[in-house]
Amino acid sequence: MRLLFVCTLVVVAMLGYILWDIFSKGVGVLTWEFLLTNPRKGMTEGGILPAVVGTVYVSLITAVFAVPFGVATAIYLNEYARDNASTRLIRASIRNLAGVPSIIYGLFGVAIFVQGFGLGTSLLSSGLTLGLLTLPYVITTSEESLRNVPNGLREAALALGATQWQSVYSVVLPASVPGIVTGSLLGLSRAAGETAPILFTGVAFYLRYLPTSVWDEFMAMPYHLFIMATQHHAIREVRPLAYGTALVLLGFVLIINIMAFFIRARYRQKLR
Amino acid sequence: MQAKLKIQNLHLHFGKKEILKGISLEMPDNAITALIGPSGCGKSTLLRSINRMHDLNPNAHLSGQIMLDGKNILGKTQDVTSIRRRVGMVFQKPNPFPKSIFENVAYGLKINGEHHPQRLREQVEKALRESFLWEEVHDQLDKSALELSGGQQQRLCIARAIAVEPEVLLMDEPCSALDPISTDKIEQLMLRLRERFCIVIVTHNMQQAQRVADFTAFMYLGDLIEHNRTSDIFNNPQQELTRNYVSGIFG
Repeated sequence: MRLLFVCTLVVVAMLGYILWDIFSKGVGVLTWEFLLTNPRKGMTEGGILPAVVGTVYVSLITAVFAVPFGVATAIYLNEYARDNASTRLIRASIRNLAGVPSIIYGLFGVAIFVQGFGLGTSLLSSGLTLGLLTLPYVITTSEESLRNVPNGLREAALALGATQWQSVYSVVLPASVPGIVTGSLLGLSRAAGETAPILFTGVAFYLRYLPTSVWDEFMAMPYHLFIMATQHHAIREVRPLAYGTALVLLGFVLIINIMAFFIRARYRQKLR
Repeated sequence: MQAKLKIQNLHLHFGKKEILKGISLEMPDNAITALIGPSGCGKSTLLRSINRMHDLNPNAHLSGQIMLDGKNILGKTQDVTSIRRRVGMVFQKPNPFPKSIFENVAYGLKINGEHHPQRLREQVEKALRESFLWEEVHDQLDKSALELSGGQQQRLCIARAIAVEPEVLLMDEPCSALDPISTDKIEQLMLRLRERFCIVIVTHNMQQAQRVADFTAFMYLGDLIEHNRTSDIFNNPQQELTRNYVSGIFG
């Protein structure tokens, strides 16, 4: 018992140290100006606006792609597909996809989206690649929350003469929205922090302009952080900016998670 | 009396296991027929055949006929949803949708294509009045149905079922999860709904069968043992098995 507690304490302490380290070293540069201006002087001064905007855009594209496909797949698997060898194989594959290293997704994205579909290195290619990475997560959590809808509700709808699609669309799906939204947002928050999948598919080292369409390249916080932490010649000057970027990225992910929490709480309240 | 429902030589298998072993039974309109018998006798399974709920289970295989007004509802060409609109069902556990009280009752009307707000309101009110629930909920129709008590939820489920004006009402142990007062209300309700529907109720409670049912069918291990007027089943059973069951020797 005591040993378990010590282990827990070690884990929490390490987590706390990381957060404290990033916060204490990053909070110094954190101003509105940092968030709302472009980098200057070879990124040794100025803000990270393009990286923030890029991350927001690419996350939106990821959501637009991953959520509808993921939820549709989950509905098919849980509501329609019979439990046989092939659906079990599909489920196992999806679960395994969740464990594929993100750099593999990146290479796949280059092969399929950038070159195969000819989308070039762009917001769209990166969003689709991140979408693929997020899909298994969205599918698994959506299926889980569909499975938690009591069978009695399906039967009640069917017994009133609803078709199966009507029962899914108007009863089962609304009842599982909190789980689906939470799962999707958590998947997105993971995607927002990924570097490898966007590395070859659309992210840029430095851009003077914000992306204006899905065909443009973009800057993103995780990659920006990577550049400043390891690739920059003036390590000393950019270190605080790197910490600031890390802090903003953490904040972004935290905001998504808080949103998930509130949406869940609101729906719970509505159902009571 | 003309039978509303006529079940003829109904067999049902789940996989290899035979659950119903050739049931033949007639149920008249405007009367309550109770299905009684020990657990596992197939009474709920029989009930769920009447609105084709077994269609959901790929392992279930039915043969025989169930005639509703002289037409076989097990026919391959029969549209399942239209049968279920004619044969409503109330389940053992109250299962209101996680929606408002109004939306619960309006659900069946809406999926049947009724979207006119005024007509919806009228029909919801009518169904709630018929279920003795209107007085209790008329000023809180927007409240979530999940806030109601168990007995109110079950009456709401009845209101939901009768709102679409079915012809047959199936009730699968509708009071087994309820307290005696709620049970009494639902029994009163059933006696009144009898005037409009052919009601089939599955019950474990033999007193309940005697209080509400006009006819009672006793089932045992997938066979229909005896079917008669309720008073005859309980006071003058023809089969020894029935006598033993209703007198509480087993079951």
